[in-house]
Amino acid sequence: MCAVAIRGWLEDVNISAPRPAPQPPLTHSNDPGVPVGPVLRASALTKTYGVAHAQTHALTGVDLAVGAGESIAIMGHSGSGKTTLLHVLAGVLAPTSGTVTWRGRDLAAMSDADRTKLRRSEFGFVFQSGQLLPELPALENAALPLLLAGIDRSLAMQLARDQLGRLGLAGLEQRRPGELSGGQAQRVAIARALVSDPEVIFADEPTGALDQATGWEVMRALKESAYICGAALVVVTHNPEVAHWCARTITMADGRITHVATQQPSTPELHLVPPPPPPMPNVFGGVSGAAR
Amino acid sequence: MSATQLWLLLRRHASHDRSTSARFTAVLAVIAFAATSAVSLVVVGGLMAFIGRWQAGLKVGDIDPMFYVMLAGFAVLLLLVPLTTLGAAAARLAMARRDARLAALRLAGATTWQVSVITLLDAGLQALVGSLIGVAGYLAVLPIVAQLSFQGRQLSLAELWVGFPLLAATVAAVAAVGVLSAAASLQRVRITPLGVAARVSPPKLSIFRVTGLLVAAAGAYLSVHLMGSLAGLFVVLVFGGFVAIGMAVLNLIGPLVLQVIGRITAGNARSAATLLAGRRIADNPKAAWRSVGGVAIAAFIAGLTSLIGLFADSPHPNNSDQVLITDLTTGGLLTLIIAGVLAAVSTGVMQAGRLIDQRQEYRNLVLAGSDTRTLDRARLRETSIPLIAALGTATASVLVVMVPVIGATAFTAPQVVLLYLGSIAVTAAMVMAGVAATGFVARGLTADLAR
Repeated sequence: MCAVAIRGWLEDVNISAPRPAPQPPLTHSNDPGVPVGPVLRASALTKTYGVAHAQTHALTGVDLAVGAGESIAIMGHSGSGKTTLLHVLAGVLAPTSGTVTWRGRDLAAMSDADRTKLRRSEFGFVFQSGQLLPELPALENAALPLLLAGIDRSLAMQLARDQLGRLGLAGLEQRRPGELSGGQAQRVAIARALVSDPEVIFADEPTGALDQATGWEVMRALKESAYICGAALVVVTHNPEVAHWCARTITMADGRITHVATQQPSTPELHLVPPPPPPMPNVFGGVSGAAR
Repeated sequence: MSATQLWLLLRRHASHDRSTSARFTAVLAVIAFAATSAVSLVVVGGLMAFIGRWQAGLKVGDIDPMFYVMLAGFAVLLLLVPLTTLGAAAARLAMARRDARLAALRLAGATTWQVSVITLLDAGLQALVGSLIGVAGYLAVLPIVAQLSFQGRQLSLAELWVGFPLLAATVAAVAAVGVLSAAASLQRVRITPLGVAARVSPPKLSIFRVTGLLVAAAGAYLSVHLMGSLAGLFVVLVFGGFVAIGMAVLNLIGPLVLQVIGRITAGNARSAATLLAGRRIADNPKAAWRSVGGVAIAAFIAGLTSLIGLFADSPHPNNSDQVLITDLTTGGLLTLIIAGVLAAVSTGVMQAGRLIDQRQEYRNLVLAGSDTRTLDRARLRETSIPLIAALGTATASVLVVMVPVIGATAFTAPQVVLLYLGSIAVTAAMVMAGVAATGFVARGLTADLAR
């Protein structure tokens, strides 16, 4: 379930501009290499760490557009700048020069509070590990972004429960992260990333701590969920098999994009048969994100 | 390379370790060890002042000066709980970071002997630095403590001075706590270096029992040698037994009550901050109780001694009774304030320690758009909820015990009640300030995200 119905709640605490007309997921367009209606655009990004005599150039002139519903893998060796790029795109780090725009609005021009709200309501995050609070059960971990956004508790819990159910975690709602397997914990993290109906999901090595089979299941769940919600997916990975799930793969080296590859949805994605979006509960009305 | 050389090499590199968690862990552990030493010395100094007066035969009216020694000893026993809590918090904090490093050393091929020497030297140094700063703190606050009056006479610096042997003994005892805690973590690494590296905690060796034994032995030694007879030991044993039973009962009930409060809070939470606070209290009620238990007990005792002050306004008090009642009130409130200081430091250190332990989760939450003010509020509520419960229960208990005895007198002398309530408010404010100070740690852990 993609919680379009909570949009009204979120808009009370949201800074976002009006949303454009719904776009189908890019992976299902005829040309998966061309972003349709970029939601996020990075232009001439540079990012430099350190002082004059010991500077590290993490990004050197990166341009990137993330289309609505598109899936992008960012690959590269350690230190190539891929995580820095993800952080800059998400408004966590400020670029040294260049701009990142969200639906035409320059992130640098937003206040820190507005960027925080943007990350909370429009972006979802999945990390390699360390994202679930050990003292909260799975359900409350998944509902946390909604609670932080001031959503009514019962609604937040219902949306989180639905999201967990969709990810095959029904019955595990009251388990603590320590009582879940690595794959289950990552799926809780995916539920949390999706629960506030984000437009973009950022995933930093989401399968890095998992074995191959579990990693495949987690990627499948992530891709499937992003598809159903119509959310764009930006995955940082060093694993080509993970990258293969995405329509576009950009390879980075020394802070630059050195290669861009697009793939037809004929790889593992073809085997992904997303279930039809479940009907929304009457209480919310609305439709699923896949159709937005 | 010998173990000592290896330690010196690691120390040299550690001094260049500018990572936030490393800096905070070291500073917080030293602060906690320093506060433990300083407060211990002030408390022992106070006890020695009364022992000195007793030995000098100073009397007020017909009140046996031994009575004052007993009361001071009782206050010391009351403060043992928050003091031990603070020492334990310091030890835990030091352990948290050491575990990972020890495991890495073992996995890299360091021998058990090398790891043991490095650990003990490291821990001893940290505790030693803390206790030496604590000695400086003790010397700094002596003139302030010397402003207090008991038995109709102002305390003098000479009376409060513990002497060099006790000073050295305190430094050694605090260093011993640090070394013992390190020995405990060493035990865990020796058993399973991989387990520690993977952040899997096997059952911990309880070093605090050993610390308790050390404290009991020190108490027995002090009581026999300072008071010059076995009578002192007897007094300590009787009071110690009484306090120990009381504490044991409270330590059983307190966490249980807080767990229920935590669950109710989380169950009814309407905001993320309250939900987090409730879950954390319910998840580890013992830690919540450790933060506020000592203050609650001190608040109860201070309440009793304060309300005894109501008798000071009775129509025919003779002079010595008046002095005793005033001293009881002062002593009770002083105990409460000292317990508050200890609770403030230990709560701050414990919360900061957990923040450092969970720094990855905390950073990820902030990265994902969590408002840091909400996370700050969660930390404050995590302490304020048990604090209000504990202080409220203590105050209500005082009223239940004392109002039937005193009756309407309480309303004719509101200044006594107001003084007590004011002290409670000051104590609570100190504890909350201790928690609020952890905001610096939280900001430090995420400072690089904004750059």
